[in-house]
Parts: sequence; C-alpha cells; structure tokens
Amino acid sequence: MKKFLTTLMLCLLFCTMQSQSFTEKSLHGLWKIAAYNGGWVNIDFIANTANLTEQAATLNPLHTLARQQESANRQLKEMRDRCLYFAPYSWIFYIGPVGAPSQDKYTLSSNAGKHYIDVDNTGPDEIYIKNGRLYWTTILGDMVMTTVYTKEQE
Amino acid sequence: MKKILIVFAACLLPFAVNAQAVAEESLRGLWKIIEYSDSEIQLDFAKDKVVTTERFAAMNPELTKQQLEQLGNDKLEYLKENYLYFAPHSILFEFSNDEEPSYYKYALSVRDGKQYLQLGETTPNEIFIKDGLLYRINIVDGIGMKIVYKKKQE
Repeated sequence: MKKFLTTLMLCLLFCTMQSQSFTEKSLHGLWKIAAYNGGWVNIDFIANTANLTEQAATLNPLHTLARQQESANRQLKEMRDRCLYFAPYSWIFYIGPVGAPSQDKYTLSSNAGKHYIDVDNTGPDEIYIKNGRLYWTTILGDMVMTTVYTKEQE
Repeated sequence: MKKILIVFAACLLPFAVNAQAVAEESLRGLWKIIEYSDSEIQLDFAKDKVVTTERFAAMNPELTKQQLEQLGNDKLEYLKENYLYFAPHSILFEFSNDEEPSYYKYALSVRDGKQYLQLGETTPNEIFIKDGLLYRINIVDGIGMKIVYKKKQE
C-alpha cells in the first residue's frame, strides 16, 4: 500500500511539473505590458503610476530626483499599451501605438531549471510565466530590468 | 399580433446587418490560409489538392504536363503556411513560415455595400467573414484572386 501511494505521489508530482513546463506554445498569443521594474523605477501600467525606488537617488547624482521622476513619467507614457505577439515559427512581433511595428526570430533554452529567450542572437534573457503573467528579465551590466506582461484574449 | 411580429422583426434587422459587417474586433487574431484561387490555379490546403486551369498551361507554354504539375505543387507547398495576424492599433502582419514577415497599417472601408481592406498603398481587397472564414478578394486588371483563411485558436 505504501509503495502504491509513493508511486501515486511521484506520478502526481511528474504531472504537476509537466503542467508548469515552459514551452513555445505557452507563449503563443498576444501579451500586453503590465509592469516594468528598471531598478531605479517601478512602473505599473494598470494603475498608471511610475514610482522611483531608493536606487534612483544613487543612480546618477547629477540628475535631481525631480528630473528622474520626469523621465519615469515619460517612460510610462511611451511604453503604455505596448504588446508582444508570439507567432508560429518562432516569430516575435513588437506592437505599439506609436512607431512602426517590428519583428524578430527568437529561440528558447533552459538551464538549471530556468528558461531563457534569445531574440535575434542578442543574448539570453530569463523568461517565465507565473499566475498567467509573463516575466521577462534583461541584465545589462549591473542593471536588472524586468518587464511583466498579461495575456490578452483575441 | 401581426403588428408585434413586424416590430420584432424590424428590431432584429439592425443586429443581423451588424453581424455580417466585418468589424476590426472580429478580425483580431491569427488566420491561416486554407484556400487560394486565381484564374490559373486553385489550391486546397486542407486536402493538399491542386487544380490548374487551361490558362495556367497557356501562361507556361514551355512546360510539360509533369512540370506544370510540379509548379502547382510547389505553389501549394510555398503558400500552405501563410498567415495573417491582425494586431492591435490596426496593424497587420503577413508571414509564411521562416520568411521575414511584412507588416502594414490597415484600414477598413465600405463602398457600394462591400467592405474593403486597405493595406498601406496597395489596391484595396474586398473582405468578408462567412461561416467563420475570412474571404479576401483582389481584382487587378480584371484578373481575380480569392484567398480564404480560418482563424487559429491560441
């Protein structure tokens, strides 16, 4: 009986892991920007707020916090309504209310339980889906930027 | 009683008319080609079937029957992974497997009771949705082309 229960538990664990596995298909569709954390700024596109973090004060001493807030507000305005569309054949489309749309090819990879996306061979960024939200983290030097997207129904 | 029925029918009429009009919202999403036909060739992608007309042979007089068949099959293979993606902000991406996608700013218009899809500077295509399928008809210099797409669920 104990052996049966252990086997059952292992089966359930395997099924749970499978359901959380990250595949190209789970990315397919339209994703709209919901939040952005650029280290020095937290932008919430749903609440329409751009808040500076403690890091903002140390980022560039020549810039006053007021100027950084202006920059954050500009970023909120420019990035609002931006969407990503993951299409068949590993195409990713960038769509926004302003400017021309664009497209790139992407590849997915996994390492040590983490998933990565490489767009147009620019280097892998960590990517994962949690509670229906897509988290995309880019690291540039000591800057860590995470963009969060929510799936749009079409 | 008859009067009530007439009023009821009159109330339903605008809904029936609306249901047939192609709204931007009903176009939104990914559509995959299922049929292509012009004055030379008819391609049925679901059945992998090619039908050529006499004009097809007349336009390619140097080709043998076998070569004509091959040309038709090549066209079927080339077009079978053709997609349209109607994105937010009136943007349309058109792509075929690994080929670089094209994108357009599109506009919908109505003329003589027909609805047209204008892609950038190109000739407007008549479009309509019937039984859940998207029909795109283009007539240039009296030669017509019809493409039928089916919506892909994600």
